[in-house]
Amino acid sequence: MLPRVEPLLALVERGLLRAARVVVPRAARAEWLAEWQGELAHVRAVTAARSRWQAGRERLGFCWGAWADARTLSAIERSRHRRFPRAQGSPVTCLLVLAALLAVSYGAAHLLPGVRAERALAPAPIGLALVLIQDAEDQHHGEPTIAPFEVRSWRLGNQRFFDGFAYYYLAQEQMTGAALASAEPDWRIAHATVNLLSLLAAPVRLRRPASAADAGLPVLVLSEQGWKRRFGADAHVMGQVVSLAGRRVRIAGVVPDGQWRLPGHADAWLLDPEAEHARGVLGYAVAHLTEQGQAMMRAPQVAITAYRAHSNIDSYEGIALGREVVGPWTFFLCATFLALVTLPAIAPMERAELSLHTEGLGWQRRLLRPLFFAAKLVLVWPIAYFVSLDAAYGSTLSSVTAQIYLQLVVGFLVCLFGLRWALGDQHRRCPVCLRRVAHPARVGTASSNLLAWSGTEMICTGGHTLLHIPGLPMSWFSAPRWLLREAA
Amino acid sequence: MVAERKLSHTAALILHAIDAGYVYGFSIMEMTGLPSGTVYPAMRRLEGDELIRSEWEKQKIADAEQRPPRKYYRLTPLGKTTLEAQRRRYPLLARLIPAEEEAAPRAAAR
Repeated sequence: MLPRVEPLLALVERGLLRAARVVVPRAARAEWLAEWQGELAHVRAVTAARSRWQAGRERLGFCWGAWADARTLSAIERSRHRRFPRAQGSPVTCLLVLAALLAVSYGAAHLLPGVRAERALAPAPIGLALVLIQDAEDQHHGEPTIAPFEVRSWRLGNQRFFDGFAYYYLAQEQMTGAALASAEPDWRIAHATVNLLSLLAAPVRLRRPASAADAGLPVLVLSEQGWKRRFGADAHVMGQVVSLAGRRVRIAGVVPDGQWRLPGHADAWLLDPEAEHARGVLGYAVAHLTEQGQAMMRAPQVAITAYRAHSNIDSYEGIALGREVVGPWTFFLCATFLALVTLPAIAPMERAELSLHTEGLGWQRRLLRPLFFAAKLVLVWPIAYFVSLDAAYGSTLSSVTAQIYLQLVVGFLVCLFGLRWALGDQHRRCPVCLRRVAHPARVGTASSNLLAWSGTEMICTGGHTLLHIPGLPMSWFSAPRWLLREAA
Repeated sequence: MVAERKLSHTAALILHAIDAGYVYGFSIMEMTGLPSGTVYPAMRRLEGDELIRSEWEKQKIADAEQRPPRKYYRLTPLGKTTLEAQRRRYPLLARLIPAEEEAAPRAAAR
């Protein structure tokens, strides 16, 4: 061997052994190292007559095996100190661990307030029987076109298709008050009739006035974004009186982000009985449909005719607002679909052949295996759902979009790798007793003519089966193969 | 029953090699063709199950050959009983590894 290579090789060998020694239990380290060094000295002597590269490769390969030996010693030591004997790869243990994970993630979903709120809000569809009324001649959808007096006249008239009207218009105003450090200009306020938020079934609970003096004040409901940005998410602002364009109003609640789906962005809603009597403004009208009205809604948009005095007719357009809210469950289904599509790319899809005497297995044994796999899937899937909820809505992200993306990503990853684990675990379960095979042992060496078999052999700890995994797939042995050692 | 302990083919092969006289770790590797990462962990498990026991060779033997002492392995009585049972289970074991004294003349003939 070249003079410089031998010291380097010896250094690498020493380094490998000393590094592996760290894994060995402390009490056995000295003896373990002495054993390996004694054998290594013999290996050096035996390989001295071989070629340089072969000798070096053999010596390094020998030292590399020290890691597996160290890990085995460490595992044996741990099992000696274990209070409760571990059921090696037991299927019951596997299902119990999954059930525990499910319980923890489910419990967290019930305890985290953000997750609770999201689950409570999401399934309820809003506005199923509501229409937004706009002037039929208006070509710019989304612009305010309705005057307050029109809504007043509809409400006072006899209606067959509608049983409730709400109105709002937008204005830019200044707010002052003790809760604000300084006057806040440019609040975009939606002046609305008192019934607007209740008609929309917005999830907001209005705080009652603290005193009789405040009872007559108009109620101001903040948007979540406005509350966080302007008031620093201070809960004590509820009930406080502020001045809005010189008028005293009482802050009574917060509308969560994502709940307002009508035209016009608003920082706050002023529920004011006088909104319907405003002059010189144009706004938006929302109407609730009766059953007859809902039956007439055969399309997302419908023509509405309003009859005025002296046979005058006004034409409007009604745009249906009702649609299902896309909630966390829908996002999770999307993530699951993506995970299923991606799974074949990363998971081992081949099944090990069960060779020899399969008729020795009773039908109950054969049924247990798919049932066990189904049980794992039934537990893994809801774990992924609740973990994605906890990760996305348990945090304090202010952006709804960020929460949705986080749920999609976490749900996709946990689903994908959970399913991959379930498949891989199933491939390593004994067909007879469903225990995981253990004690991997390399058997054979690579053959230059590809006729000799080499691979890994694993054994069921109950002694029922052997699993042979080919190191190099051949035409005559390409997939892992089970060998049944005795009739079950 | 302990004598009916089920061993993998690899563990049975190692037991047979030790019984055939290949008592050092590297010699077991050479005769079985298994790598060190398989042989030594298997021997740890066999020793933990009291099928084999390990001993250090005498220091004077190592000193005479000017090398560090080596550890060698022997079958316990339980290991011998288990090996007999494994020979019935794996009848080709005896053909895979000749006894050490048989292997020496073959090596000379080569």
